[in-house]
Amino acid sequence: MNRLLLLFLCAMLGACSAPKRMPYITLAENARAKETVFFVNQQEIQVDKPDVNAGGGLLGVIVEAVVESTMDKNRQAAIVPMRDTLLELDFENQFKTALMAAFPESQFAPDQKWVITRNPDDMLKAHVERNGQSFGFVSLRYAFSSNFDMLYVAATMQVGDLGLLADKNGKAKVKYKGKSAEGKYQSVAYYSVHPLKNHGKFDANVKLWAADDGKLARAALVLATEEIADLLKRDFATPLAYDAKAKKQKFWMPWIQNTIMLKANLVESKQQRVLMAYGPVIAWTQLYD
Amino acid sequence: MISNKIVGLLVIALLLTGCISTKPIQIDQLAIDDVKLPKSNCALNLKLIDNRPSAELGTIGFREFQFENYPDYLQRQLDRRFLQVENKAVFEARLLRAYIETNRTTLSFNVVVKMLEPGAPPRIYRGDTTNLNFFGNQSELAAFMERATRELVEKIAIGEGCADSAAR
Repeated sequence: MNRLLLLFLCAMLGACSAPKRMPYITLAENARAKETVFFVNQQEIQVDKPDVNAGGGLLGVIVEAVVESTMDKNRQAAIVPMRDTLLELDFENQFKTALMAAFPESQFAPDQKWVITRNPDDMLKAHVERNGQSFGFVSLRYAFSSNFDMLYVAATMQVGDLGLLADKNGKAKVKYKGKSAEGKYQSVAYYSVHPLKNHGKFDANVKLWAADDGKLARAALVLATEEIADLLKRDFATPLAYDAKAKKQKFWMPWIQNTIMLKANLVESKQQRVLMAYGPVIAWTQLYD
Repeated sequence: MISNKIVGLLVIALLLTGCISTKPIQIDQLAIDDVKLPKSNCALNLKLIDNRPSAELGTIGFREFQFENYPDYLQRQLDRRFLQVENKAVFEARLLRAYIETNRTTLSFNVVVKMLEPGAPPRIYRGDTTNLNFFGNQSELAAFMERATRELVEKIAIGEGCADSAAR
């Protein structure tokens, strides 16, 4: 469901549309975002839900349900020591502070207010309440891949006329459809993916992340925060664009919990990871060999 | 991957046309039972302090999971399990987390308490349960909270030396 939620977010807010970047607009001083809606639908670090494909038909559905529920139980049990280790880590706040420092003045008013929402209903209501004004939106997810071989931080970042309308029953509905949304707001999804070296089975992997008071996981979270804040700064200065002539390569992308073949622009690389740009998706991730 | 995108877009379409509800799921106090554990003869005065970063109890799918005053429920279970003695020290039990999480085909409920005793290192206890969700009705969902709470209370009993009836 988290994957669906992320897909929902990134698609609803424009990040899954065709790979196209628009230059950022410098807003007039009085039109800059004074508030940012921060959406975090998790209270501790999570693990992606295992996805089993047991074929079609009713039997396939039953087999999938049984296997996935067993895998859910195993993963939830395995992540407990990791969660206990990170209990006192206020990652949300650290992430928020880093992002606020990276927000471009061309889009955001100084001393802006952050409004935290933790469920989709409140998040949609916050969009309806702010209709007609420019505001920012940041969604955060930090999690392990289902085999604990990667830790990633994903952030959807938006700014502009993001408001939603309310229908006669008070439910949120989109204001701009298709091309009418162009130029009204900016949407980018940033990812920072950290693979575990020498990984094996999921239960052994999680022990590696949690060892020494979660040293590896803490370092990955710190680095991911720095990388996303840095990407935000760089990208708002000069949008990291999709390259139509780029070679098609396979990347590991967390929002689909799988590898994906993309003609993405390889911006740079460091320590076996690459910075790729695919339209509004900018990610420090790993090439799939 | 294509099917994932289709599902994602379908979810958006359904959500924005009102076909997927984001209305909170409210669990009634009557839907949850007190945990079935024997009263211990062991004296353990625990004062629960709500120290959660958020008072929300998580989401099931797109819907917020609500239960009025979970800390009160947990305090009641601790009081039912352990003997309260007037002249004994009161330990601080900080409630750090309490939330439901939606998995692929299951739901999990986590509740975490940190026990603080003067002159001793803090002790962390976690009750967690992961089970298939069949009907999503109130009593089934409340049972997730109940099971995790029972596991937490039992872990506290074992960790604090109150697992049997021996006086502490």
